[in-house]
Amino acid sequence: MSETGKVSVVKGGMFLFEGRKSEDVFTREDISEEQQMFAGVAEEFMQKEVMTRSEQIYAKDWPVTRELLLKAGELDLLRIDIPEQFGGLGLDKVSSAFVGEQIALMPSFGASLGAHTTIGTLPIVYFGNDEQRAKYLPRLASGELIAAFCLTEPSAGSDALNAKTKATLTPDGKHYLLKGQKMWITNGGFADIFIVFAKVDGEKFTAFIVERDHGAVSGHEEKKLGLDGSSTTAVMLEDCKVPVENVLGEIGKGHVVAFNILNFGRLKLGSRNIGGAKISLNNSIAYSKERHQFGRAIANFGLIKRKLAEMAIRCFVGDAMVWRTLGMVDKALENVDSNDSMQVLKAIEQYAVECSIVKVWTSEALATVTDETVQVYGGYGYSKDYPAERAYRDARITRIYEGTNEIQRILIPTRLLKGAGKDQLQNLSESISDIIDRTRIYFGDEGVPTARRTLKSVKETARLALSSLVESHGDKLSEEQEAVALAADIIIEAYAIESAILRVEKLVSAKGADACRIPTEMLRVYVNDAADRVAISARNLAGAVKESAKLMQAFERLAPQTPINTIESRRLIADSLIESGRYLW
Amino acid sequence: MKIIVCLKQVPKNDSVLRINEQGTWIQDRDLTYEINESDAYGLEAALQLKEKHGGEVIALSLGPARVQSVIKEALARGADRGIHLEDTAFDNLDAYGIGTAIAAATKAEGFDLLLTGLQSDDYGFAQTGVIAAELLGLPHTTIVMDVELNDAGLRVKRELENGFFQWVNMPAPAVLTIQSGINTLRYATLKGIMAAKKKEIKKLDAATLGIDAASLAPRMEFRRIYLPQKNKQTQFIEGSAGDIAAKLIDKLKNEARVF
Amino acid sequence: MANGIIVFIEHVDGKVNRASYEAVKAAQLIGSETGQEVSAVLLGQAVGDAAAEVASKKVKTVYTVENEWLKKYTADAYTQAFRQVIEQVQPALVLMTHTYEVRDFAPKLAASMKKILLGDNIGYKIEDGKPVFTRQVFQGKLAVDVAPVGDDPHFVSFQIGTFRGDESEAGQAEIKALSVNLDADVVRQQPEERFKEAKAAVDLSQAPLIVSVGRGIKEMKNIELIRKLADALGAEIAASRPICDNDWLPMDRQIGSSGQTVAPKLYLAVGISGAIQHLVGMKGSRTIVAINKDAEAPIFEIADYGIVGDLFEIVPALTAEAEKMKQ
Repeated sequence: MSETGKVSVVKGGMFLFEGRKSEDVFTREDISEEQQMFAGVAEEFMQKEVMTRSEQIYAKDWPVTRELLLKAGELDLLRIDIPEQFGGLGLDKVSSAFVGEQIALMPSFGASLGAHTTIGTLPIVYFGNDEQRAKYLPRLASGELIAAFCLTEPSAGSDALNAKTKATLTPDGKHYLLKGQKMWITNGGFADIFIVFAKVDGEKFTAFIVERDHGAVSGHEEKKLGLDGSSTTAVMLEDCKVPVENVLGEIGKGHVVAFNILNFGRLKLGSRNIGGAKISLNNSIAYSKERHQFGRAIANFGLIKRKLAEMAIRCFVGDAMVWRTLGMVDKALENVDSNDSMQVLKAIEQYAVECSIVKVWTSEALATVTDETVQVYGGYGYSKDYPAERAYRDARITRIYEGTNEIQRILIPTRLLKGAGKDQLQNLSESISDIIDRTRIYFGDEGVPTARRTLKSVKETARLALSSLVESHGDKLSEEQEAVALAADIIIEAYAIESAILRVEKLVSAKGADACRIPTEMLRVYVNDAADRVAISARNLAGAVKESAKLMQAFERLAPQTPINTIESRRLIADSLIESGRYLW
Repeated sequence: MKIIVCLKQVPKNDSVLRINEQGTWIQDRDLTYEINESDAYGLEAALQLKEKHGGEVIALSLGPARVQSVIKEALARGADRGIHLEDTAFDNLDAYGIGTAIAAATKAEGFDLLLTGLQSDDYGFAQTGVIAAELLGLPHTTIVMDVELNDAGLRVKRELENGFFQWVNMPAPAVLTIQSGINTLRYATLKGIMAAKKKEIKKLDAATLGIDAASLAPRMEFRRIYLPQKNKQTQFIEGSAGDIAAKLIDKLKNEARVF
Repeated sequence: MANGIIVFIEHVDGKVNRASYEAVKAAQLIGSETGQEVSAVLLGQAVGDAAAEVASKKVKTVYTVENEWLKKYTADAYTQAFRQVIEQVQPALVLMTHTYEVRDFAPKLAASMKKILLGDNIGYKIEDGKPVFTRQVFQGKLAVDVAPVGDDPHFVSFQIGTFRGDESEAGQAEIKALSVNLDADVVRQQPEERFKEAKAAVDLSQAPLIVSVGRGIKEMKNIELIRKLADALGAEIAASRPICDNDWLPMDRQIGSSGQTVAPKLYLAVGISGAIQHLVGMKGSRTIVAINKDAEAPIFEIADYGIVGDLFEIVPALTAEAEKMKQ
């Protein structure tokens, strides 16, 4: 189903090397009326059914969670990504993510539902054969069966391929006996279906569809920092007898299943993260208008305004990145046969860098926003009777799971260097001398055009950073995590700045500049600050690679300076939030 | 049984309302909308009658292009088709004007039952359905809690004041205004939303309906809109919860002399 | 040329609805300010005693219309009869109290004369010698001033409680019977007997202290918080309509236009935003306290004491303070 309209297919991993026009990207404003209605169902369901049962959910009353998942199934909220011939709706990722954003209203329930629909169900959607799909998907779509994804083990976390769980063929050749232990399994306490990764004969990493009755045993509920209302347990496999027809995908190709599914997970996590950030921001706005100190609402104070504005900026830029990426993925998927799983996965895999960027940036934005929300609430923020405390705890996991942000920061530059753009990197010393010959740039303050010029500089900085890494460390890059992560930070900012510019340009062309005053201010402030962060990362990177002095000079030349009054801009942004009572973009 | 249900689109209940610069109405910039609460119960009543007795449910709304979203919402919940009354001549109508347009459109369509909510959450006129009934020459009952069909027509439960009720018998076709809370609203499903795309929404304007300007002419004039003036001076009590509680009990005891 | 104000007097089986005297009071005020005479009208059968009661008010004439088709209220018969009264009396203004019965027939009556009802007003002012009426919009969040447009007569109703019926001026009126021709075929509604549904209904109208709870309570289990506060204060517990619609409290605890009307010494509204339908049931209370997180909530318009904040924090503190007071 095409919802992305005339947006054209863009190759993944190329944003550093190519320019983009606003008409080429999907933005939140492009979400269709029908997709808005899908989300409306999810929002109403969350408000009326889920939020009213929060106490039972947080008390780990799993029958209530299961009942709610079944109700979600009745409303079709679990079948969005499942193909039509297997009881699903076969909708696009934008629909799926937009619905997911509403589910973020309660992150604990969102974790249960998201683990089921994304990492629990999608392995069967993309890697199952027709028998497996027909057997499991209709009941996963209805919520009759609930799924869990079992990759991590006590000693294999980020290093997932180092799994110890073994699968041994029984002498009659009809079953595999699985033996081992999985850790941190979301929905572990009540799931019926487990996607388990084990090594056949201790070597060939392979995915299996394991039913609880095959002998999967849940451990006790973990006592967690956050997400109190989601089930997280170990899953013990003690001679768990799985029929051979339940091997998922090819024997020895379990890593293909695991890594591709996590790509999806990261992409969808982005919309949930920004959805959560917006809830915290709205809570902060409401509380700061209600809370009086020194005879006036604290929303009147500059330092509170600064916080509100900064939160709004993160939400705006985050959405720009999330929906741009989702739109690209959907566009690519439109051009492949949806029944050909391998083509689908290939189409998505090329956006792995973008998915990683979205995961890192949005989880860190959520951390900032939930942390500042606690601060806006002051002492009440530290109290469990107010929402800020739970949101703060719930947010913390998002920087850890679905691949830690550290792993993502290593992956971003290394994948870019292996990808389609690597041939476009120029010779380092030529680039450096070319840049040093230029004069330091003072950009003036013209809003979006200034941001465009800054973007050009930041992209050039990012390319220079990549070239310098290759030049200095070549094959040993993986041993230079700190330097690689600095380059990642620059690349991430390039994507963030560009996404924000494209969103504002598209908004302005649709609504006119006057109606887009606030988005334009958000863009100016973000770009101004991001350029400084890029400059700092670049300077630190330069110190750690060859030709430090010259490189430092080149980076210095590229660092833009703009005379922007960010205090005034943030006040304007905050005033509009306070006036409307909530974040509107 | 052919049922037409009128749905008004109103600003969401929790909207922050701001008066426009001319002081004549509210600013509609930044507003989000929803189906008027009692109209949603009217829709649900219609869908339940259809499930019980068969027939057709038609969702009708009057207003600018944006009101199509409430029609679509109704189609997603199970209404069979929609009617959208759209015309600049329909802007800023009073209840008589709206009743006139609804009467013309529903007369052309024909029906057994015309349902509206008992009042809108914005203007709160509480008379559109009754006016339409009068213009159509049909019987009506307001603030309806329950609807039964029988051979003679309708038996409807009317809510009266002070906890009283009354059943009223009427022939069909008739017009009923529905009270909020009389049934449990269903959700739209995603499949319902997707199916709604294929359902027809007929657009009608004043000329097509043969409505002349005189019948839409305002019968009341809005002089000004403003924040309500307070009759009472409210004393706001502030502080920590403990402080507030202590101050309030003290004031109730010594100032208001309630205890 | 039409002149004068006619007031609609509502009754059930000859017993006058006290709320109708509020319209009498309104008519007396507007009449004296605009130099118009006031009359009243009763529709029914055997309404003599009721007419005599109304005739003790300061009005010029009490018109009675008696007809077997008016024995029980129906919108069809009332509209026909009232319209003929208007044609005979030629008033400039028809005044009513905005009861459920008026809501049922007055829009039809006005529409039958190609007019509109200016309904549910909460006040009036005189501009250029003519009354302009104030009504609430957006469920009481905003107010508008509206003026009728076009020729007389104009139809106007006031919200219950806008005027004090018991303060209407006494006097001596003539009673005059009018006859009307009712076309029985046009009376299509056949009403059955009125009935009450709630078993062992609680009469809250006598309770001196009421703690009332609304949507802000969020979940059924939280009602317990309110019950504790009510117990500590020795108050009755009551609720706004959504709470009873959800069965979180029984229907007979509902305050408002479709529930009970109360006027206790203390009305403590917790998490109630104050929709008009609720306010009409409690705005006569002597002291009103409102606890709500939304500073803009209409309930604060009529509250004597307002607390803007989180009820889940304030109610327990208040309960503790009330317990302290008892000891």
